[in-house]
Amino acid sequence: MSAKRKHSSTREESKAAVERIIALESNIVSKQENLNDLVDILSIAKSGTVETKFVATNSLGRIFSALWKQGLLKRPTGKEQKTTAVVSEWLRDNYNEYLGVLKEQLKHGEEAAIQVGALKQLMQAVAHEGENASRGSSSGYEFPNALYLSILELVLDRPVAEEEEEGGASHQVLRVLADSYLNLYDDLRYFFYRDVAKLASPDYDPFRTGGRSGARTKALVEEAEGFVRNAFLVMGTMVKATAGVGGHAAGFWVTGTAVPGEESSVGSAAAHRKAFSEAWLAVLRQPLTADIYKQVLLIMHRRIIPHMVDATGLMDFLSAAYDAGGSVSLLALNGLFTLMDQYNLNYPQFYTKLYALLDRNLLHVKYRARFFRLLAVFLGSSHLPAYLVAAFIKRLARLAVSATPAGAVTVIPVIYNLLKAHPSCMVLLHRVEEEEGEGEGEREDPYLAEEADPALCNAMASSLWELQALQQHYYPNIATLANIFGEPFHKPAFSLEDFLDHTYATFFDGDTARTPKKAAALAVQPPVSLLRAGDATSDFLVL
Amino acid sequence: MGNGKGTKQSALKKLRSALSTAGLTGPTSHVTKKDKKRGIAKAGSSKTLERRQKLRAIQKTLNPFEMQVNRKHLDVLGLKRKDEAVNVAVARQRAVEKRKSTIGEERKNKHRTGGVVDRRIGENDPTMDPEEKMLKRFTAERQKRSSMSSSSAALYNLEDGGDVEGEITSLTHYGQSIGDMDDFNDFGGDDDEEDAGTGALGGADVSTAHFGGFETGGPDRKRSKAEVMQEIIAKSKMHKQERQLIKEQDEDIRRELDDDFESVRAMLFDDDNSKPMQSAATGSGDGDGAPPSYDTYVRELVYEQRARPQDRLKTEMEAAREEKDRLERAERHRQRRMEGLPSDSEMDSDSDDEGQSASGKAYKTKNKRKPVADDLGDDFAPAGDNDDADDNIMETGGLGLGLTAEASEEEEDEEDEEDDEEESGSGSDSEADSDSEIDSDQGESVPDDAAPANQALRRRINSSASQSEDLPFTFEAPGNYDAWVELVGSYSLEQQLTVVARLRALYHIRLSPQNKQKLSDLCLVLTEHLAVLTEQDPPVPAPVIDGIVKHIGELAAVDPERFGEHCRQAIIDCHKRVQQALKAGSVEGGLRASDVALMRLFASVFSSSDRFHTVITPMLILICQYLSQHTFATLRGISCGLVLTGIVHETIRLSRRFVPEALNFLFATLAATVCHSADPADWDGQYPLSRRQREAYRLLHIGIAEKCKSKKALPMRWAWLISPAPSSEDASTATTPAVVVTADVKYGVLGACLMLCRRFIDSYFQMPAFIECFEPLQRLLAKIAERLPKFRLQHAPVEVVELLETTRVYLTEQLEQARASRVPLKLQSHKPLAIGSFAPKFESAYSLDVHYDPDRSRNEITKLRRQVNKERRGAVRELRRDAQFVAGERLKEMREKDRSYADKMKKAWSVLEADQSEMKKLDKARIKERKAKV
Repeated sequence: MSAKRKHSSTREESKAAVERIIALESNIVSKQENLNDLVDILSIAKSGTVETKFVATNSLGRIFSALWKQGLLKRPTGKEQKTTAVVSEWLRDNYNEYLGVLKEQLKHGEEAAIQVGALKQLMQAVAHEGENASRGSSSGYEFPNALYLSILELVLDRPVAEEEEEGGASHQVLRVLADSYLNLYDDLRYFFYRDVAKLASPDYDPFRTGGRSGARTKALVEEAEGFVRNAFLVMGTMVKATAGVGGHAAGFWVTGTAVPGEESSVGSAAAHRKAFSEAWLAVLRQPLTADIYKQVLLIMHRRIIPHMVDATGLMDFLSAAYDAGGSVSLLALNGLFTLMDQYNLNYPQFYTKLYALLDRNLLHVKYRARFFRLLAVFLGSSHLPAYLVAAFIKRLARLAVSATPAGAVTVIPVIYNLLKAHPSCMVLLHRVEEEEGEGEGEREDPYLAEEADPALCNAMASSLWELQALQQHYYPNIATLANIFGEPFHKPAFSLEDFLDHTYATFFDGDTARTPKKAAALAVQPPVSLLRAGDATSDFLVL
Repeated sequence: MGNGKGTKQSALKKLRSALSTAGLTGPTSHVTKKDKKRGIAKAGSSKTLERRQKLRAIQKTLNPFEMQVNRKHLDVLGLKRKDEAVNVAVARQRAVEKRKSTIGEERKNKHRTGGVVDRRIGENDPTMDPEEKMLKRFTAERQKRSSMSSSSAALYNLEDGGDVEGEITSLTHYGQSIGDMDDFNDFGGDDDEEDAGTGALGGADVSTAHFGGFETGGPDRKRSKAEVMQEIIAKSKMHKQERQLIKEQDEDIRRELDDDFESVRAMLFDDDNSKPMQSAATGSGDGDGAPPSYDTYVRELVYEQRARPQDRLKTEMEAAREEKDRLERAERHRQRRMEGLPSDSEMDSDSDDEGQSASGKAYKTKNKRKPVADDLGDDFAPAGDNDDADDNIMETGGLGLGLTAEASEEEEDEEDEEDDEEESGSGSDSEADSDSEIDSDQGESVPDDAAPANQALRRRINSSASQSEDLPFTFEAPGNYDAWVELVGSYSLEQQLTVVARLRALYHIRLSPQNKQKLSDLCLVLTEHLAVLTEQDPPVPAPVIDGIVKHIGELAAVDPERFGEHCRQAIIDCHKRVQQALKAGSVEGGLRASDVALMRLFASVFSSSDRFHTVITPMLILICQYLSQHTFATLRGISCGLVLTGIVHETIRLSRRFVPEALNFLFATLAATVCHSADPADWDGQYPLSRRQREAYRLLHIGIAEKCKSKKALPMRWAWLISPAPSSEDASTATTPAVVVTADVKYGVLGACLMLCRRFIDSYFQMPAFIECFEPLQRLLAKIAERLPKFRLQHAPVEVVELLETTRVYLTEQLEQARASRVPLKLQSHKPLAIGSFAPKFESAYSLDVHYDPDRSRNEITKLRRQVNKERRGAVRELRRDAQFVAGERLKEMREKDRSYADKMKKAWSVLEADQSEMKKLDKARIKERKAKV
């Protein structure tokens, strides 16, 4: 009971405070003489309950925007009367203090609502400052980048705790930033890219003592990771990357006296692209976690490369990713392919690396459908040498022996298509032995599974016994599918899409979807016990 | 052809010459009066015919344009066709005549009902002479008369002296003899009493009976004759029906009386004096002195069952051969299914045979063989495999079957029970433990997967283990699991088996058609029961489980469809659970011990070697998904995996199908014992391995300092599979504490893996990719052998070490053999196909009329289409000709009418003109007279 009473008492207190804030605000707005009350509201905004803080900052925002309109917050030029200069000086001090409060709230706010609110207030401040600045400038448009940069630094430079994945405070802040500002306003986006590039560059560190290029402490590394993750979260969700820059006022957050045209940097599409490229390159230069790495690679070919000024700048990054091995390589392949296809990238030893990608986990990873689509493209050329295609076929068959049904069902059509496109590889399926006498003693498989170079692995001399094993696969559909290798190659090439997206679940559902018409066949001899005498299980299990 | 000579003559000349040569013109053709007198007239009829024929022939030859010659495709010697040459004019004439006789007649008789059809012989034949007609009629009359005389000889038999004249000439009216009508009894107005008084006829009578009034059907309309006749027919039919009805009623009454008489007679007469009374009763009818009931005796004896020759009982050899045949056939079916071929055709013939024997020769005790899975449900008599009892049942032909079956089963069960008591040292332990179990159960919160029935049963099973000694002999058949729990809740597990045996005897399928349903219910209930029992902790003794499995195996054949569906659903449910658990990444994996047990059951109940099986194939998919996607982080998971691998082996034991997931799991588990979880390069092999799995497998890693407590290998226990109780409170009070993964356990797992590996080597050594699959294993075993002995072989159980060694040697041997026998693939050795030719196909004698389409079906379709078109055209032509004919007829009629009218008018005119001229004449005469007077 007492706790409840206490609670209600605090609530009453906060209610009173809110009423007071409202009263003060109306005082200030109505008469200039009451400007001193600003200090009271500021003190409440600094130290109050969550609710009162929120109300106080909001009311401060309203007051300051009114003051901006009245022109009281302008930097004094010396032409005005001394009293107005003093007042505006004092007001500017208060304004800076207010900005400080907001930044503090943005950084360490207790709740997501406070943080988001602070972000919105700050963006409003950016708009007002910009408007004010552009009124005086010659071009009619000026962006207050100093304030914006400090906001972005606050937003991006925070370590994202592992536990707040979705819906956490910083996550929400980032989403609000992306959705309601960067996606909508061209100038904000442009300066965001520029600032990100600046923040990510190694020599950016005006206020810090250590510097990133120096010895990296663990905290610093974590901070950098946080920055990259945040930057990626924002940049990855941006719908309009660079397009849509035009001379219309609605696309700009800061409304100057004139709309910046093509000639100014904010208005030109080329400048946007440049900013975009630099921002991405700067971010990718940072140390990436495995997770971010994969996600970047996932969106690389569709959302990054097309908007780059010079996509070859990504070459090093992609090459490094491709060399990394594992699933990262698989994902890098897509971006790399785009570069090779459209930007004339020449990748040495490409097929050797591709061959190395066919490792034992390939048929079990999530991205295998993506990989096989590309593999079909890479091996689709009829100018490839037979030994190379044979090496790939043999390696794929090897993998299929230990694959799940979903993997095997992908591999079989791929091999069939390859064999059909390269008839000289048919010796893998059908070998007429002329040199009978010579090959008497050795029956060892000539294929060298450990050899990394497809040219040396001697696949052409081998046979695809693995496919014959698949013909006895326990899953009847795969056995049937594998039987095509025993039939004449008259069928048209398979369309791969039908085979890529199978999983255990699709197989299971396919088999159990219809109720059977016939009764299930029973065993010839009904069982006498749970474990048959001589059962494999009864060797080691005691009931 | 007549003009084939090429002579150029006019048609008239040709006709003349032809007529003269035929002798139709010229002097000889004229019949003189003398000739007539001499009797040429007699032959006149034949002569006219001859003449006509000659004329026709001349006509034919003379006008070549009337001849239409139909060309032949193929000239066949000696084959005469009717339509080689058709005389078009004649054909047209024929068609017109035919129309006249059909459509023309119809037209004439349009709007006419009834009428007289002239059926006199030769009346409508214009070619007949009157003499011929008379002759024909006379012969017909004679024939008719002679046939009649044979049937009713008395009619015209003059010798008989009867009133023949009267018979023949008796007049009839409306089909009734006038002689019978003389009394005028049914004259309409006879009974009319009102009119009788006045003595005058009523108006109605007058109107109906006088002056042709009888012809009027209703008061206002004159009825046609046809309607009158119809009414008569209807009336006569009605009368007939009435008569029949009356007759039937009489029959009924008579039958009733007969029945009553039977009962009355039984009351009246005793046995001793029934005979005389019977004789008295029947004597009046029969009249002769034979024993009265002799006929009845004879009749009865005819229908009495006689001894029939029975089929010879089969000798032991024959029975054995039959059994062998049956097994061979079943095996053949299984093989076909294994290859994925339909085994239906054979099955059908078999089932037909069985159906015949069951229906037609029911009395035979032929069906002596044991019931099997291929049997149909109907004639399947599930019984234990106690052969003697079985044969007894069969030979008594189903009579008293319930009792014998029961007795035999009871004996069996008693034996079982004794066995159980002997061997269950642990069983008594469990009984002793049961008290503490109950207490713990009181506070047990039901886990989400355990059904309430499960809990209730668990309580009852354990609480009343040794309660009732005397079991009742009859039970209600349980329809669902709750009923079953209700039924057997108070009996011990061994007694439950007896209950099942008694239920099966009580509701034997031969006893009632409803029992099939009951038995299949029982089967499903038992399946559920098995699932519950295998979840028990401590585990239920094996004999009980085996007993239930045996019952299920035998009952499954009662309704395999339903049982199969039930099992399929169980697999689907299990898959859902596993899928969810895998998605959530839970350690437990969603698989329960009962699931594993059921899967093991399915693997042996169903024909698991089939290429596709509605239960087994999804089950294998499920198992493989679990094996390849689950992260094995607990001993329970690994044990489940091993048992599942064993199940996989059981399903592929006969078909030797290739299951990569099982091998992957085995190899990974084997590798886990020696490989370092931190170093991915250490785990060489083909099987996929993620970091997560690798780290989870650390559980099995045998450390350097680990020692085994015992020198014997520790076998796995079923209890390891059972999921621990959900709450920690339960875990502390559970009878078997969670198994700690000691070195013994690790070595046990290692041993199990090795044994399974050996089994799979046995199954796969003939597989083409054997080397590819098992070479990694060879390396792995070498690694294990290398790493284990260095530090701690002395700590390992001897059996495991030996097993490792023998497996290695065996695998090496097998691999060497496989390498020696390996040959390059020759998968594409097909019959060479002919090279496609682009040279046009040339027909030496091409004809437009011949179809060269090589596609037979298309050819036939074209043919049919042509036929249809032809027929349609023919029909259209016919209809058009009909219309033309009708129009012509109509025109003719119109002309006729016009002409008659014109004649009439002409006549009238002529009369009038004659009158006029007469009058004028008179006038002129009068004027002349007058002039003359003047």
